Amino acid sequence: MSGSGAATGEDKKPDQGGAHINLKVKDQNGNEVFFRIKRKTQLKKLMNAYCDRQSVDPKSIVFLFDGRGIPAEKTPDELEMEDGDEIDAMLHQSGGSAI
Amino acid sequence: MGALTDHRKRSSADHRLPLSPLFSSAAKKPCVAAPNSTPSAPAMPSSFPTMPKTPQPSPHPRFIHAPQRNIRAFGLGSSSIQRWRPWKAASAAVNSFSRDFQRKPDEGLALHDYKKLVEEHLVSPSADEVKAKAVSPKSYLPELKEAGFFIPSEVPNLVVEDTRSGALESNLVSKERILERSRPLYKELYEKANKHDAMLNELSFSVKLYQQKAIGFRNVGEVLRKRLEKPKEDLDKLFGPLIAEEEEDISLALFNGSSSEVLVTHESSNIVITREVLQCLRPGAWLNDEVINLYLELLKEREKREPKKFLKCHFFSTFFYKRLISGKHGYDFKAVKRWTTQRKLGYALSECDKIFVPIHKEIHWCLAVINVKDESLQYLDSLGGLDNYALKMLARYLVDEVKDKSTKTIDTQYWKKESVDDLPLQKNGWDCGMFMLKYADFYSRGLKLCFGQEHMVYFRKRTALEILRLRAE
Repeated sequence: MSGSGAATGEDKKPDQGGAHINLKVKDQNGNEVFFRIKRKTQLKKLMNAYCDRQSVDPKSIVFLFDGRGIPAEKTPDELEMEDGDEIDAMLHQSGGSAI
Repeated sequence: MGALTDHRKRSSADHRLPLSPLFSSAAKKPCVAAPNSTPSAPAMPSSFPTMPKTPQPSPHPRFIHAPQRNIRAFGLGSSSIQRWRPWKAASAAVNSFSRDFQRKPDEGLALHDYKKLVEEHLVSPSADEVKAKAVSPKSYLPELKEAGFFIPSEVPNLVVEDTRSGALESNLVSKERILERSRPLYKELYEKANKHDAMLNELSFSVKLYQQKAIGFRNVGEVLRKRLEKPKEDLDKLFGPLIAEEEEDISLALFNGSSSEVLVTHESSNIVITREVLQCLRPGAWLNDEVINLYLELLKEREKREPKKFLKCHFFSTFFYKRLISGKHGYDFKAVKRWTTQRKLGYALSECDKIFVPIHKEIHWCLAVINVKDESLQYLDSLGGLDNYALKMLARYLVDEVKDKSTKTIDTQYWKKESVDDLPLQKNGWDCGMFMLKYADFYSRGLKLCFGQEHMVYFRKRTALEILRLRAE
C-alpha cells in the first residue's frame, strides 16, 4: 500500500531537505501510495509513476488536489503543496442509466 | 244700496249689521293681507257673487226691533240678533263673518275706518279680479297642482277659500317655490339641463380618471407580469433553436476529426476536453465526469458573471461525494475538508442558497441538492429513486463543514430529506447525466424543472456548444 518516492531517490532525501516533498496518493478505495518528489518537478512524473505502479491506464484516472484537477506540467511549488499533502487518484466516471 | 241707506237712517246704533258681509271680507283681509301679492288674492273675488245674499236680510232688524230692545235691557243685544236670524244659521261661513264683524268695532275701529277698508277691499279685489282674468288662474294651476295642491276649477264658497289661503299661508316656502317656478318652464328645464350637463361633465371626467387609472394599473400589471415572465423569457432562451453555424460547430466537434484532438481546456479546473471526451454528448452516449464537471464549472462562472440573475450556488465535482464516503469507515470529512476553503472558493458554503452534489452510482448519475436557505435536502434521480443514505451523509457533511469553517454550528438533523415531486424522468438508458446537469442548471436559475425527455437531444447539443465556447448561458 505504501509507495516509495518515484521521481527521486530516497537516498537524496537528507541532502536536499526542503527541496523535496512527501506526497500521498490515495485512490478512491482509500489505498494510499507515498511519493517523495522534488518541489520543482512536474507532477506528470508522479502521475505516470503511480499509473505504472498500479498498472492502470493514465486515461482512466484523474488526479485531484483539494478537489481540483492537477495539471500535469505543474510542480508542487506552483500548486503550493506542503509536505504530507494528499493527492486523490479517482477513476473517471461515466453513467447513463441504472437499467 | 237704497235699502242699506234706509236702514242706516233708522237704526244708527245697528249700522254694523248691514256692513257685516262687506266687513267680513275686510276683516279677513289681514289674514290675506300678507299673501296679498300671492295668487290667493285673485281667488277672493270669485266668492263675492255669494256675498250680496247676506246684505239682503239687513231690513229684518226692524221686525225684531222690540225684542231687541228688551234683550238690550238685559245686555244681550248682539247675541239675540244673531239668534233671530235663521238665514245666518243656514250659512256657517256668514255667521262667523258677522261675529268677526261684531267684534272688530269693540276693538275700537271707527266707522270711517271700516268704510275705508271696505272701499279698499271693494276696489282691490276688482283690480285683482281683472288681474286674475288677465293672467287667468289656469296659468298657475299646473304649478299648484305640481306642488301638491288640489285646485278646483272654481272656488264655490268662502270655506274653501279659507282653507286654501290658510294652506298657502302655512306654506310660504312652497309658495316661493311656486313663484320661482312661475318663470318660463323652458328656462327651468334649460337650467336643469345645464345642471345635468355639469354632472355629466363631472362623471365623464371621473370616467376618464378611472380609465387612466385602469391604464396605469394595466401598465403596472404588465411590468410585473414581465418581471414574473422573465424566467419564461429565459425559458425561451433556454429552448431557443441553434443557428446553422452553431449546429455545424457541434457536429464538427462531435462527429468529425481525430478523437484525441483537444477541443477546449478549462484552465482553473484543469479539465481538458478532447473530441473523444466530448463525444459523450452524442445522442445515446453516456455522459462522463469531464463533461459534467466542466459544465458545472461553467454554471458557477455564469453565476459569478451575473450574480443577480442566478442563485448563489456551489457545484461540487462528481468526485466529491465519492471521496466523502470512501473513508476507512465510510464517511470521511477529512478527505474533503480542504476542498472548500474560503481561499479556494472565495465564499463559504454556508452562504450559498443551494449546494449541488453530483452523485455517481457505478453507471448512473443522480443529483443531491442541499437547500441551505430552505433547510432541506433533495435527491433528484431521473429514474425516480431516493438515496436517504446520501442525504444523511451530506447533512452530516454540512454540519462538519460549518463547524470547521466558521464558529457557527448548525443542526441538519431535522432538515427535510426528500425526493422531488413531478421530477422530469428519463425514458431511455443514457440520458441521466443530461437530466442531472439540467436539474442543476434550472435550479440554479431558481426555475422549476420544466423540461422533459423530449428536450434531451437539444440539451446535448446545447451543452456541447456551451462547453466548446466555455460559456454557459
